[in-house]
Amino acid sequence: MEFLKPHVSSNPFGQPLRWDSSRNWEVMLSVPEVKVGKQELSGLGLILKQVMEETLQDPNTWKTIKKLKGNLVVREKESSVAVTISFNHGEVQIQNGAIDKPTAFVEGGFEELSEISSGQVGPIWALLRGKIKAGGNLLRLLKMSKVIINQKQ
Amino acid sequence: MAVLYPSQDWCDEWKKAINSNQAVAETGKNWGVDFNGNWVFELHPGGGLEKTWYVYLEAQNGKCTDARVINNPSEVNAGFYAIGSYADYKAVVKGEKDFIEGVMKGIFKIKGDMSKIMRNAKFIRAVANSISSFKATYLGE
Repeated sequence: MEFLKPHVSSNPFGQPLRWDSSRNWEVMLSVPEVKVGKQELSGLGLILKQVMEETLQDPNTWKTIKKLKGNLVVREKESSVAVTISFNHGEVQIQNGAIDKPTAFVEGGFEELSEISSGQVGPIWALLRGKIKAGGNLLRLLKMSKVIINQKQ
Repeated sequence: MAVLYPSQDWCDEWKKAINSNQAVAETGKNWGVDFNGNWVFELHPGGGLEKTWYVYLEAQNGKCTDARVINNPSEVNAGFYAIGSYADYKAVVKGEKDFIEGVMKGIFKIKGDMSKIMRNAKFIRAVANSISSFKATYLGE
């Protein structure tokens, strides 16, 4: 019954293996890491970084994220604080401020962004009801936003 | 009667304000359930405060069970820390600054499980609003 036990194991080369939900053994060649830009992160950035470090542990989220290239700007409406999350085929970086012409952006109040980020409200639902504003490539936005939505709580 | 911020009297008033706030009761039902929802607020000197002060807040199930001034954070078991200058905290207590906006901007540093904060954002907002709901006096004024 040994084959039923491990969800995380290791291969002969020392790389951790993960039995993901789609029933594939996946070699995790590197632990997903969220890099930080040169400046010290704002409070919004620190909160999102911690959320991303959790969501990237999920194999399905990681699978989506490592295919992506682009930038997502997240702005908290009341404070006007913004961060840019950059994706480059598995490299994820967060930095203060909004870059010009991001792939997509999302803007909302703290409560609204929190509800989305904690998985209590879906981003499409929030968008359709005017709780948040979004723009750019909406299909990519939905994919990129997976990294800031923590469903496992 | 106005109470001096920070002092034990102020903590007592804050506890009363939290426990009489309907929004706190409604939004905080899940706060501190299965996790440590207690806070330490670290007030750094400046703006009339001469040394670092710590205010401890025990919150669970939409209720505040304890609020007091402590000498050292190691005296208590807190799941969350908020760190900022007295001058900035004073502005929040006066209702001139928004605590959450301060957190977003990094004026107040938060330590703890951010996913719990995000899941309970409305509760955090309600508690933050309660802080300016009673009269206070301030050091350095």
